Amino acid sequence: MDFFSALRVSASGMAAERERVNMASSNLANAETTRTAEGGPYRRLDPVFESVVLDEAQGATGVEVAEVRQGSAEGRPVYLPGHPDADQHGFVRMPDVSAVHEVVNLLSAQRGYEANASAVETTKTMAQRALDIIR
Amino acid sequence: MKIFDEIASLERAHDVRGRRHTVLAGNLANADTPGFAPLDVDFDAAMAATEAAATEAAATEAAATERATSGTAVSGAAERGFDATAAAIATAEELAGRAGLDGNTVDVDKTMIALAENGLQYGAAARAAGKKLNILRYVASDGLG
Repeated sequence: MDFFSALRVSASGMAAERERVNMASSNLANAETTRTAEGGPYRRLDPVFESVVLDEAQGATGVEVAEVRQGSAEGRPVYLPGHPDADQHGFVRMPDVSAVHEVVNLLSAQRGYEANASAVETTKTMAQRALDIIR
Repeated sequence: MKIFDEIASLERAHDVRGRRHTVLAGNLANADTPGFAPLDVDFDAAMAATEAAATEAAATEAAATERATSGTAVSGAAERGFDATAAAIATAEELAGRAGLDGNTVDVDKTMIALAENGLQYGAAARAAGKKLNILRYVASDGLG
């Protein structure tokens, strides 16, 4: 068998989950950001996963981040009259980031990452067993 | 050769287990992919298919040996065995759980258990092949090894 295709599959899963963690962290860090380079409040990032066939013959199906969805550019209006970015009615457009949503996303990504990591561990054990035949 | 026949079948089991491992790892990698349904290799079907391919290969080889210097190329029946394993990959209901909002049906727990079980079976096949070779080594060294 080809151990490397199994490792590539797990690596693609770990990379995708890490990207999800990065985006969830960015969203949390920017939960109150009202100014961005493109103007307006920060827009939350959400990765969209897509399965990708790495090796047809081996049945190796990996995963990749196909696109990154962005949250609404409008944000949600919060009444903060003293804020420097408040409009004439005292409303500030805050990012549409929900802390609960992001933390759940982080946890789910962590579990996914761990599952892939233990698949790598199993792959290594199997490779060792195969090498033990010739000992 | 006759004495290597049993090792050959262990080798095929090894190959199928290895492929199943790759497929199961793919399920884990896609545990958060929208609309993804878990895949699995039917071990019995894959073994039967590779066994048939191997028998065919042996027959072709025997025919080729009979024709001796006729120069007929032996067809890649071993590769067809691999194709047979690939054909045994299908969506697996037994690894599926309740579909989430994203339509993904991968059950991580069931997949992890299948992965662990498959790894153990792989190790067992490896052990058995090692023992077989040890026996051959013992015999080949006049019982002194």
